[in-house]
Amino acid sequence: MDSVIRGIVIYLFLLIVVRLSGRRTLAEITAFDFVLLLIVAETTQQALLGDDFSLINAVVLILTLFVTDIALSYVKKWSPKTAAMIDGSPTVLISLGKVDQEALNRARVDLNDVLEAAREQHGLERLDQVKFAVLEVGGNISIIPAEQQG
Amino acid sequence: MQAPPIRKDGLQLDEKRKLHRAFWAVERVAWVTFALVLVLALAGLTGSGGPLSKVTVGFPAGEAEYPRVARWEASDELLVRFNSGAETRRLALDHSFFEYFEVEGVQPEPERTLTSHDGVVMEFSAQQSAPVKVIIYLRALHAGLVNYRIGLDDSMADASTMILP
Repeated sequence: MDSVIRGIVIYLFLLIVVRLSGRRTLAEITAFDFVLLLIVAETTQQALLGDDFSLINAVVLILTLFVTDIALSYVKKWSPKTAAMIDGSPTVLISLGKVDQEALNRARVDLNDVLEAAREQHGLERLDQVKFAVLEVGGNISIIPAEQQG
Repeated sequence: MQAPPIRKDGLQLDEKRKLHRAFWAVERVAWVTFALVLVLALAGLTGSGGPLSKVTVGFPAGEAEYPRVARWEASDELLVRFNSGAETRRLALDHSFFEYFEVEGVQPEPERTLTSHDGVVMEFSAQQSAPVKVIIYLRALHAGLVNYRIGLDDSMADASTMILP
């Protein structure tokens, strides 16, 4: 019983904390993020297992995590509102060349990040060549370039 | 699955800006909450050390320091100090204490351990009535709030420890 409760609590807790820490955390794995990920993984493992290293505990835990995941995917399918809460929805950062400063600030995205994405995806040189910039659910920024003039 | 609507600017995307604004507000509140939890943890209210993690109660015969907050399956200590004045000192703990805590060790070892109606009494002998310091190493067995009684010689006091899961 313990393992199931531990599994569900840790799953939901991680889901909430990762979601509330902001999407940008997930977008680009820097060296620091990698270290953070390792530490969180290690801490989670201890909280999940306690000092019970039996095979059955591992089996029950793995099943708990998978079943929770599947159940959550069904909940998301049935209720689009919950899905939007859990996964978020895309944020438009630049619309028709106009920068949405509120969205940038609140989503903790820099114009430099937008320019980086513009360079990487389309080889764009300047901000005025960006028609749309959207912060996607996964944390990456997608760019739609303005039509080339002349 | 319905396709997202086309916005005024021509982008086919369901942005839910209202939900975003609410979420951004919740996000900021959550960060402050995370910070507050850390402050509480540093103060000792999540157990495992910190200025507020222990409570000291005074008795005519000495004092006892017990954990205010403990953690399930984690080690903790109950510290008892007897003032000088008697050759034999008695430390009593009631049954509910032992239901929630496993005693991993007692330093120094008691001279005798007696079982009474209420619980367990440990007797320690002091050479030339010297002060006695006893440390009981504990491990919390269950999570929850546990109320118990600690007795030093003839006086008893109520104690309670919150064991966090």
